[in-house]
Amino acid sequence: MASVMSVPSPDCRAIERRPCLVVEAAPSEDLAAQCRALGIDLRQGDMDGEAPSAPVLGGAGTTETVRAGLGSPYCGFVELGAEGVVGIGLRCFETVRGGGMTLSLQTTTAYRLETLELVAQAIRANFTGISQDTADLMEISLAEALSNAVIHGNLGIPSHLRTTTEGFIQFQKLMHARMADPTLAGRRVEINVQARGPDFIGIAVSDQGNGFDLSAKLAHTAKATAKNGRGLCLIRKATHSLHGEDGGRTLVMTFAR
Amino acid sequence: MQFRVKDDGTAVHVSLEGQLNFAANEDFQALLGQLNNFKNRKVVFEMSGLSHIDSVGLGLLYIAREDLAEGGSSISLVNPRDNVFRMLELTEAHKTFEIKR
Repeated sequence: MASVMSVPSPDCRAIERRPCLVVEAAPSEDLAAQCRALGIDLRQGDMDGEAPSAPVLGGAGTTETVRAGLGSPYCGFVELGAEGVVGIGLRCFETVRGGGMTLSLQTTTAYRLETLELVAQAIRANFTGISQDTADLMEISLAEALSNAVIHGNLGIPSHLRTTTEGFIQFQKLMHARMADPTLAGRRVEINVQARGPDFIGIAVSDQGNGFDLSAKLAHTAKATAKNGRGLCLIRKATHSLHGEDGGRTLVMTFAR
Repeated sequence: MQFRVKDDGTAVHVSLEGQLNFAANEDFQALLGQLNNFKNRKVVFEMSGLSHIDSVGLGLLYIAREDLAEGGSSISLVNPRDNVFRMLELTEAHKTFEIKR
Protein backbone atom coordinates (compact mmCIF):
# COMPACT_ATOMS: atom_id res chain seq x y z
CA MET A 1 0.00 0.00 0.00
CA ALA A 2 2.24 2.71 -1.31
CA SER A 3 0.06 5.58 -0.22
CA VAL A 4 0.14 4.48 3.40
CA MET A 5 3.77 3.49 3.52
CA SER A 6 5.05 6.63 1.88
CA VAL A 7 7.31 8.77 4.01
CA PRO A 8 5.56 11.86 5.34
CA SER A 9 6.54 15.11 3.70
CA PRO A 10 9.31 17.03 5.53
CA ASP A 11 6.89 19.46 7.07
CA CYS A 12 4.77 16.49 8.21
CA ARG A 13 1.68 17.62 6.34
CA ALA A 14 -0.17 14.76 4.67
CA ILE A 15 -0.04 14.58 0.88
CA GLU A 16 -3.56 14.83 -0.54
CA ARG A 17 -4.77 12.07 -2.84
CA ARG A 18 -8.02 11.56 -4.72
CA PRO A 19 -10.08 8.63 -3.43
CA CYS A 20 -11.33 6.18 -6.03
CA LEU A 21 -13.86 3.49 -5.18
CA VAL A 22 -13.00 0.29 -7.05
CA VAL A 23 -15.83 -2.22 -7.47
CA GLU A 24 -15.92 -5.64 -9.10
CA ALA A 25 -19.34 -5.54 -10.75
CA ALA A 26 -20.71 -2.85 -13.05
CA PRO A 27 -21.77 0.01 -10.74
CA SER A 28 -25.37 1.16 -10.68
CA GLU A 29 -26.38 4.68 -11.69
CA ASP A 30 -27.20 5.36 -8.05
CA LEU A 31 -23.70 4.40 -6.91
CA ALA A 32 -22.15 6.54 -9.62
CA ALA A 33 -24.28 9.50 -8.53
CA GLN A 34 -23.37 8.97 -4.86
CA CYS A 35 -19.66 8.94 -5.69
CA ARG A 36 -19.97 12.11 -7.77
CA ALA A 37 -21.75 13.81 -4.88
CA LEU A 38 -18.96 12.78 -2.50
CA GLY A 39 -16.25 13.93 -4.91
CA ILE A 40 -14.72 10.49 -5.27
CA ASP A 41 -13.92 8.59 -8.45
CA LEU A 42 -15.50 5.27 -9.31
CA ARG A 43 -13.89 2.49 -11.27
CA GLN A 44 -14.91 -1.02 -12.20
CA GLY A 45 -12.63 -4.01 -12.53
CA ASP A 46 -9.13 -4.91 -11.50
CA MET A 47 -6.23 -2.53 -11.00
CA ASP A 48 -4.55 -3.06 -14.37
CA GLY A 49 -3.39 0.08 -16.09
CA GLU A 50 -2.71 3.37 -14.37
CA ALA A 51 -3.63 3.00 -10.72
CA PRO A 52 -5.66 5.73 -9.02
CA SER A 53 -3.79 7.65 -6.34
CA ALA A 54 -6.00 6.42 -3.49
CA PRO A 55 -7.95 3.30 -4.51
CA VAL A 56 -10.48 1.95 -2.01
CA LEU A 57 -11.95 -1.48 -2.64
CA GLY A 58 -15.74 -1.68 -2.28
CA GLY A 59 -18.01 -4.71 -2.17
CA ALA A 60 -19.42 -7.44 0.04
CA GLY A 61 -17.60 -7.85 3.36
CA THR A 62 -15.71 -11.14 3.52
CA THR A 63 -12.33 -12.07 4.97
CA GLU A 64 -10.89 -12.15 1.43
CA THR A 65 -12.26 -8.78 0.30
CA VAL A 66 -11.30 -7.03 3.54
CA ARG A 67 -7.79 -8.51 3.42
CA ALA A 68 -7.46 -7.47 -0.23
CA GLY A 69 -8.66 -3.93 0.47
CA LEU A 70 -6.26 -3.49 3.38
CA GLY A 71 -3.29 -4.56 1.25
CA SER A 72 -1.43 -3.09 -1.70
CA PRO A 73 -2.44 -1.43 -3.98
CA TYR A 74 -5.55 -0.42 -2.03
CA CYS A 75 -5.86 2.12 0.79
CA GLY A 76 -8.81 0.43 2.41
CA PHE A 77 -12.09 -1.43 2.12
CA VAL A 78 -15.67 -0.21 2.38
CA GLU A 79 -18.54 -2.66 2.59
CA LEU A 80 -21.21 -1.62 0.13
CA GLY A 81 -24.72 -2.09 1.45
CA ALA A 82 -28.00 -2.16 -0.43
CA GLU A 83 -27.82 1.61 -0.55
CA GLY A 84 -24.32 1.83 -1.98
CA VAL A 85 -22.02 4.17 -0.07
CA VAL A 86 -24.87 5.82 1.85
CA GLY A 87 -24.05 5.63 5.56
CA ILE A 88 -20.28 5.43 5.10
CA GLY A 89 -18.62 8.15 7.14
CA LEU A 90 -16.88 10.99 5.30
CA ARG A 91 -13.91 10.39 7.60
CA CYS A 92 -13.14 7.23 5.60
CA PHE A 93 -12.57 9.14 2.38
CA GLU A 94 -10.82 12.00 4.17
CA THR A 95 -8.42 9.49 5.70
CA VAL A 96 -7.37 7.99 2.37
CA ARG A 97 -7.25 11.48 0.87
CA GLY A 98 -4.65 12.28 3.53
CA GLY A 99 -2.62 9.12 2.89
CA GLY A 100 -4.16 6.82 5.50
CA MET A 101 -5.96 3.48 5.58
CA THR A 102 -9.69 3.00 6.05
CA LEU A 103 -12.16 0.23 6.83
CA SER A 104 -15.94 0.55 6.92
CA LEU A 105 -18.02 -2.52 7.82
CA GLN A 106 -21.60 -3.10 8.85
CA THR A 107 -21.99 -4.28 12.46
CA THR A 108 -22.83 -7.89 11.58
CA THR A 109 -19.80 -8.12 9.32
CA ALA A 110 -17.46 -6.59 11.92
CA TYR A 111 -18.78 -9.16 14.41
CA ARG A 112 -18.61 -12.12 12.02
CA LEU A 113 -15.10 -11.55 10.67
CA GLU A 114 -11.85 -11.55 12.61
CA THR A 115 -11.77 -7.79 12.14
CA LEU A 116 -9.15 -7.09 14.79
CA GLU A 117 -6.73 -9.61 13.32
CA LEU A 118 -7.22 -8.27 9.79
CA VAL A 119 -6.66 -4.65 10.79
CA ALA A 120 -3.73 -5.45 13.08
CA GLN A 121 -1.99 -7.36 10.29
CA ALA A 122 -2.59 -4.48 7.86
CA ILE A 123 -1.17 -1.91 10.28
CA ARG A 124 1.94 -4.02 10.82
CA ALA A 125 2.36 -4.43 7.05
CA ASN A 126 1.59 -0.88 5.94
CA PHE A 127 3.02 1.39 8.63
CA THR A 128 6.73 1.12 9.16
CA GLY A 129 8.82 1.80 12.25
CA ILE A 130 6.33 0.58 14.86
CA SER A 131 7.99 -1.10 17.84
CA GLN A 132 6.67 -4.48 18.98
CA ASP A 133 5.55 -2.92 22.26
CA THR A 134 3.55 -0.25 20.44
CA ALA A 135 2.06 -2.87 18.10
CA ASP A 136 0.85 -4.82 21.15
CA LEU A 137 -0.64 -1.68 22.72
CA MET A 138 -2.34 -0.78 19.44
CA GLU A 139 -3.94 -4.20 19.20
CA ILE A 140 -5.09 -4.10 22.82
CA SER A 141 -6.65 -0.64 22.30
CA LEU A 142 -8.17 -1.52 18.96
CA ALA A 143 -9.77 -4.64 20.44
CA GLU A 144 -11.39 -2.56 23.19
CA ALA A 145 -12.54 0.19 20.85
CA LEU A 146 -14.00 -2.31 18.39
CA SER A 147 -15.83 -4.17 21.12
CA ASN A 148 -17.25 -0.90 22.51
CA ALA A 149 -18.33 0.28 19.05
CA VAL A 150 -20.23 -2.94 18.32
CA ILE A 151 -21.73 -3.75 21.72
CA HIS A 152 -22.39 -0.39 23.36
CA GLY A 153 -22.33 1.89 20.30
CA ASN A 154 -24.21 0.27 17.45
CA LEU A 155 -26.16 -2.38 19.37
CA GLY A 156 -26.81 -0.17 22.41
CA ILE A 157 -26.28 -2.98 24.94
CA PRO A 158 -25.34 -1.92 28.49
CA SER A 159 -22.28 -3.56 30.07
CA HIS A 160 -23.78 -4.18 33.51
CA LEU A 161 -25.37 -7.44 32.33
CA ARG A 162 -22.07 -9.28 32.09
CA THR A 163 -21.40 -9.73 35.78
CA THR A 164 -22.76 -13.23 36.37
CA THR A 165 -23.30 -16.36 34.27
CA GLU A 166 -27.05 -15.63 34.18
CA GLY A 167 -26.44 -12.02 33.17
CA PHE A 168 -24.03 -13.19 30.55
CA ILE A 169 -26.69 -15.48 29.02
CA GLN A 170 -29.12 -12.55 29.02
CA PHE A 171 -26.45 -10.40 27.38
CA GLN A 172 -26.03 -12.98 24.62
CA LYS A 173 -29.78 -13.15 23.96
CA LEU A 174 -29.95 -9.37 23.74
CA MET A 175 -26.97 -9.29 21.42
CA HIS A 176 -28.59 -11.79 19.04
CA ALA A 177 -31.90 -9.94 19.14
CA ARG A 178 -30.25 -6.60 18.34
CA MET A 179 -28.12 -8.16 15.62
CA ALA A 180 -31.31 -9.45 13.98
CA ASP A 181 -32.63 -5.89 13.76
CA PRO A 182 -31.65 -4.73 10.26
CA THR A 183 -31.37 -1.09 11.30
CA LEU A 184 -28.91 -1.82 14.12
CA ALA A 185 -27.09 -4.56 12.20
CA GLY A 186 -26.57 -2.20 9.26
CA ARG A 187 -24.93 0.50 11.36
CA ARG A 188 -21.29 0.90 10.56
CA VAL A 189 -18.08 0.37 12.45
CA GLU A 190 -15.26 2.33 10.86
CA ILE A 191 -11.55 2.21 11.53
CA ASN A 192 -9.30 4.92 10.13
CA VAL A 193 -5.54 4.77 10.54
CA GLN A 194 -3.21 7.61 9.66
CA ALA A 195 0.40 8.56 10.30
CA ARG A 196 0.69 11.75 12.35
CA GLY A 197 4.10 12.97 11.36
CA PRO A 198 7.07 10.62 11.58
CA ASP A 199 6.61 9.72 15.24
CA PHE A 200 2.92 9.04 15.81
CA ILE A 201 0.04 7.01 14.40
CA GLY A 202 -3.62 7.83 14.93
CA ILE A 203 -6.37 5.23 14.95
CA ALA A 204 -9.97 6.46 14.96
CA VAL A 205 -12.78 3.98 15.65
CA SER A 206 -16.27 5.22 14.87
CA ASP A 207 -19.75 3.82 15.41
CA GLN A 208 -23.25 5.07 14.63
CA GLY A 209 -24.80 4.64 18.06
CA ASN A 210 -25.99 7.23 20.57
CA GLY A 211 -22.53 8.35 21.65
CA PHE A 212 -21.34 8.86 25.23
CA ASP A 213 -19.46 11.26 27.47
CA LEU A 214 -15.85 10.08 27.32
CA SER A 215 -14.66 12.27 30.21
CA ALA A 216 -17.36 10.95 32.52
CA LYS A 217 -16.55 7.35 31.61
CA LEU A 218 -12.83 7.87 32.14
CA ALA A 219 -13.49 9.37 35.57
CA HIS A 220 -14.92 6.01 36.64
CA THR A 221 -12.26 3.49 37.64
CA ALA A 222 -13.23 -0.16 37.59
CA LYS A 223 -12.33 -2.30 40.61
CA ALA A 224 -9.58 -4.88 40.10
CA THR A 225 -12.11 -7.73 40.18
CA ALA A 226 -14.80 -6.00 38.09
CA LYS A 227 -16.21 -8.08 35.23
CA ASN A 228 -16.91 -5.07 33.04
CA GLY A 229 -16.19 -1.36 32.71
CA ARG A 230 -12.42 -1.49 32.31
CA GLY A 231 -12.23 -1.06 28.52
CA LEU A 232 -11.78 2.71 28.27
CA CYS A 233 -9.36 2.87 31.20
CA LEU A 234 -7.33 0.18 29.48
CA ILE A 235 -7.26 2.24 26.27
CA ARG A 236 -6.17 5.30 28.21
CA LYS A 237 -3.27 3.37 29.73
CA ALA A 238 -2.22 1.97 26.35
CA THR A 239 -2.35 5.15 24.26
CA HIS A 240 -0.18 8.26 24.02
CA SER A 241 -3.35 10.35 23.89
CA LEU A 242 -7.07 9.71 23.69
CA HIS A 243 -10.02 11.88 22.84
CA GLY A 244 -13.60 11.57 21.65
CA GLU A 245 -15.28 13.25 18.69
CA ASP A 246 -18.81 13.39 17.29
CA GLY A 247 -20.43 13.15 20.70
CA GLY A 248 -18.43 10.08 21.68
CA ARG A 249 -19.18 8.14 18.49
CA THR A 250 -15.56 8.37 17.43
CA LEU A 251 -12.66 7.45 19.66
CA VAL A 252 -9.36 8.89 18.47
CA MET A 253 -6.33 7.06 19.83
CA THR A 254 -2.77 8.22 19.20
CA PHE A 255 0.28 6.03 19.64
CA ALA A 256 3.99 6.87 19.66
CA ARG A 257 5.75 4.57 17.19
CA MET B 1 -12.58 -19.04 20.20
CA GLN B 2 -12.13 -22.81 20.47
CA PHE B 3 -11.44 -24.76 23.64
CA ARG B 4 -10.48 -28.24 24.77
CA VAL B 5 -10.87 -29.65 28.27
CA LYS B 6 -8.61 -32.46 29.50
CA ASP B 7 -8.52 -33.95 32.98
CA ASP B 8 -5.15 -35.59 33.76
CA GLY B 9 -6.07 -36.52 37.30
CA THR B 10 -4.05 -33.82 39.03
CA ALA B 11 -5.59 -30.83 37.23
CA VAL B 12 -8.21 -29.91 34.68
CA HIS B 13 -6.49 -28.34 31.65
CA VAL B 14 -8.46 -25.93 29.49
CA SER B 15 -6.72 -25.01 26.22
CA LEU B 16 -8.01 -21.82 24.63
CA GLU B 17 -7.41 -20.98 20.98
CA GLY B 18 -8.21 -17.96 18.82
CA GLN B 19 -9.61 -14.75 20.24
CA LEU B 20 -11.29 -14.43 23.62
CA ASN B 21 -13.38 -11.35 22.97
CA PHE B 22 -16.89 -10.01 22.57
CA ALA B 23 -17.58 -12.54 19.81
CA ALA B 24 -16.63 -15.59 21.91
CA ASN B 25 -19.82 -15.70 23.94
CA GLU B 26 -21.50 -18.98 22.99
CA ASP B 27 -18.26 -20.90 23.11
CA PHE B 28 -17.46 -19.62 26.55
CA GLN B 29 -20.94 -20.47 27.81
CA ALA B 30 -20.40 -24.06 26.63
CA LEU B 31 -17.06 -24.08 28.46
CA LEU B 32 -18.64 -22.82 31.68
CA GLY B 33 -21.21 -25.62 31.37
CA GLN B 34 -18.46 -28.24 31.16
CA LEU B 35 -16.44 -26.76 34.02
CA ASN B 36 -19.44 -26.85 36.33
CA ASN B 37 -18.99 -30.64 36.46
CA PHE B 38 -15.67 -30.24 38.30
CA LYS B 39 -15.63 -29.64 42.04
CA ASN B 40 -12.68 -28.93 44.32
CA ARG B 41 -10.20 -29.09 41.45
CA LYS B 42 -7.31 -27.07 40.14
CA VAL B 43 -8.28 -25.66 36.74
CA VAL B 44 -5.44 -24.52 34.47
CA PHE B 45 -6.23 -22.29 31.51
CA GLU B 46 -3.55 -22.90 28.87
CA MET B 47 -3.43 -19.62 26.94
CA SER B 48 -0.58 -20.09 24.48
CA GLY B 49 -3.07 -20.60 21.63
CA LEU B 50 -4.93 -17.39 22.43
CA SER B 51 -4.03 -14.69 19.91
CA HIS B 52 -6.03 -11.85 21.50
CA ILE B 53 -8.08 -11.05 24.55
CA ASP B 54 -10.20 -7.97 25.25
CA SER B 55 -11.88 -6.73 28.41
CA VAL B 56 -15.07 -8.64 27.57
CA GLY B 57 -13.00 -11.81 27.36
CA LEU B 58 -11.25 -10.96 30.61
CA GLY B 59 -14.67 -10.41 32.20
CA LEU B 60 -15.59 -13.95 31.14
CA LEU B 61 -12.51 -15.29 32.94
CA TYR B 62 -13.63 -13.45 36.09
CA ILE B 63 -17.07 -15.06 35.78
CA ALA B 64 -15.43 -18.49 35.32
CA ARG B 65 -13.25 -17.89 38.38
CA GLU B 66 -16.28 -16.99 40.48
CA ASP B 67 -18.33 -19.97 39.27
CA LEU B 68 -15.45 -22.38 39.87
CA ALA B 69 -14.79 -20.94 43.33
CA GLU B 70 -18.39 -21.78 44.30
CA GLY B 71 -17.54 -25.44 43.62
CA GLY B 72 -14.28 -25.21 45.56
CA SER B 73 -12.07 -25.09 42.45
CA SER B 74 -9.22 -22.67 41.79
CA ILE B 75 -8.07 -21.22 38.50
CA SER B 76 -4.70 -20.29 37.02
CA LEU B 77 -3.70 -18.77 33.67
CA VAL B 78 -0.57 -20.16 32.05
CA ASN B 79 1.65 -19.34 29.04
CA PRO B 80 -0.09 -16.21 27.70
CA ARG B 81 1.53 -14.72 24.59
CA ASP B 82 3.28 -11.36 25.00
CA ASN B 83 0.33 -9.25 23.83
CA VAL B 84 -2.14 -11.19 25.99
CA PHE B 85 0.20 -10.95 28.99
CA ARG B 86 0.54 -7.20 28.39
CA MET B 87 -3.24 -6.83 28.50
CA LEU B 88 -3.39 -8.85 31.74
CA GLU B 89 -0.66 -6.61 33.18
CA LEU B 90 -2.43 -3.38 32.21
CA THR B 91 -5.66 -4.56 33.81
CA GLU B 92 -3.82 -5.77 36.94
CA ALA B 93 -5.32 -9.22 36.47
CA HIS B 94 -2.42 -10.69 38.48
CA LYS B 95 -4.08 -9.31 41.62
CA THR B 96 -6.89 -11.81 41.06
CA PHE B 97 -5.43 -14.64 39.01
CA GLU B 98 -2.34 -16.77 39.40
CA ILE B 99 -0.54 -16.14 36.11
CA LYS B 100 2.42 -18.29 35.00
CA ARG B 101 4.55 -17.70 31.91
